[in-house]
Amino acid sequence: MLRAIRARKGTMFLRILAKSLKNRRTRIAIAVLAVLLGASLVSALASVSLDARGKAGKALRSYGANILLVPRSDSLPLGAGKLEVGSMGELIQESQLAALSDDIAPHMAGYVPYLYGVVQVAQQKVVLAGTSFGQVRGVSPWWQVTGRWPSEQAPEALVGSEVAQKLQIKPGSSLPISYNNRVQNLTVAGIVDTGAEEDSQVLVALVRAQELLGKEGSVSIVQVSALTDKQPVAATASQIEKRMPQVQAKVIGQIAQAEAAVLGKVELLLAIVTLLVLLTSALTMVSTMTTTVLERTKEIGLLRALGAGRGRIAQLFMAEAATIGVSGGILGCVLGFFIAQVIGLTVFGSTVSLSPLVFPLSLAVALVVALSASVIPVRRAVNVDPAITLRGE
Amino acid sequence: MTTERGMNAVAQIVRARELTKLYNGKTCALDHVTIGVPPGEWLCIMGPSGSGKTTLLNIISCLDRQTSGALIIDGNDVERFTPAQLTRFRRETVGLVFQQFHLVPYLTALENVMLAQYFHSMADEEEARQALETIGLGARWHHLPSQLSGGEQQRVCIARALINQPKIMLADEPTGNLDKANEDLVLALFRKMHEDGHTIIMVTHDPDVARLADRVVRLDHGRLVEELN
Ligand SMILES: Nc1ncnc2c1ncn2[C@@H]1O[C@H](COP(=O)(O)OP(=O)(O)O)[C@@H](O)[C@H]1O
Ligand SMILES: [Mg+2]
Repeated sequence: MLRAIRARKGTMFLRILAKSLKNRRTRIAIAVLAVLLGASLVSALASVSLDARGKAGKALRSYGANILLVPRSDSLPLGAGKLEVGSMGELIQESQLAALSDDIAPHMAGYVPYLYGVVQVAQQKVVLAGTSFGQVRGVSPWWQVTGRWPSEQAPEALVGSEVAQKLQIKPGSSLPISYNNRVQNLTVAGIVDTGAEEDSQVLVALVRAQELLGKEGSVSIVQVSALTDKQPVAATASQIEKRMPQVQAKVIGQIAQAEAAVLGKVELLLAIVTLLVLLTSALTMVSTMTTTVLERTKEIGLLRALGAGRGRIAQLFMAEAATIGVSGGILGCVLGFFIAQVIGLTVFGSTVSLSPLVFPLSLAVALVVALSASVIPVRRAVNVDPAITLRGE
Repeated sequence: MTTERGMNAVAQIVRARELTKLYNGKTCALDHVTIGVPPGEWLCIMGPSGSGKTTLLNIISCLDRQTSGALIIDGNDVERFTPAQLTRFRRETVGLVFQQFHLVPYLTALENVMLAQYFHSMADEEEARQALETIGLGARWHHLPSQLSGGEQQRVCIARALINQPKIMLADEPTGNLDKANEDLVLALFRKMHEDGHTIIMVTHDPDVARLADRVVRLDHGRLVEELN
């Protein structure tokens, strides 16, 4: 019964609200437009930030690792992965890598340790790389493996495509490897094609390489895939150096870096424009609501004279503001999505996908702008003197 | 100078004692007005423009407060009410009819009547339709105020004022803006109201209208003078 009464009260309220909005549709439309523009920029900014930033990060990752950890030594001439393996006198102690799993972890997609050594396979010198296959698969999903990935436990190897071609190796072949007169028989689990130096290497589990090369507990380098959405790569690199004093962290992949820098500038610009437009939206909203209240002073007085309390008046005007906010927010989100596409295509050459966060975010911003801009005008409405009605002012 | 006719006899629905209203601390719109209105009485207030008639109605309808003096309506000392209580008391106790009609321009005749129901308790479309039927505008329910003549608007206004069955009907020159034909229609509604036992306090300039009332008082510079008829 009580619920039925409430429902009917609600219906009448919506009826008044709808007619009142319709009655001043031009003015309402202008306010909606103002909120829409603000919300669209919020939506565009959020889309670009959430999506493009993720994409730029992915671009960095697909380029490969973007930080290379090498033993601290001024004499080591290291490029981005082009390794002079023979010159690697010093090594990184594996125990130091623990630092990567704590405070640096949130800024990392993953890291892959490598231990290199030159071994003999069928009278040929080949670079043996010991690594963690699980971690490789996590950060380098594009590696193409024919056959299967080796298990970490079994004596298995992943053979680079060039080596496989030269030595006529197929998945399932046996692979005798010798180092300093020590021989180990491995089984080839798969052939890998990466388009990079791995194609000319034989990859085995890290522990197996350490054992074979007699370098237990050591690695030559660590490839780190740092995430770029929260902080620049350089920051992560210096953070690593601080935690691991024996290690030099080199930032690699400069092209993706430049792209991330452009993204940062676009974002800053967009953020400034968004703020200015939001300010304009708020001012338009204040002026719309103030005019509305002034124009409707007589009507408010009448409603009060008919028994409407101050709360009812506030409710009515806040509901009007909320309607403007919600419509502006929804339409703005749609427009913002298109703006984000334009930015994505012109700046990054790719479309921007819609993050589920964008809609509630721009809607909330639109609503907050519309409602907060209405506080003062609504206070004015609530304070209209009902006695003016009889006086006919 | 002032009278409290019947104050000791019947319980009075409106009792004002020494009611005074100062605007901005100096303009004395009401000057120690003492008056009692028994239930069911039709009281007319006359007086020149600026004599305080509207001010008196505003205070009795709880739209405004007196500067000093006592006002008891239906046994309640309204001076003690908080603004919120005053609003509730107003919507439950008084019906208002204005010279300028005052309908919400974007709501239909029916919705204007329903508005009073809505603020009072809940909108009842059937009952509101019935009320329009009673004032002879049943077929015009969907018209906006701008599509109605002055007389029709005033009748909608009366339907709206009556819809919550208020104990007191307050009207400020309800026929002031109407031609003779419409005035007769509106007055017929007030006569019906009077027959039904409503208390009516009406401000008017028209002696013909005043003749319909049980009693006429005159305000002059905020002071009350009893009219003998
Ligand atoms: N809000 C107000 N502020 C100041 N003076 C007012 C106000 N309302 C009415 N008055 C003054 O109070 C006196 C009585 O006004 P009113 O009650 O409207 O008279 P009436 O209705 O008899 O014409 C007039 O002198 C008028 O100017
Ligand atoms: Mg007046």
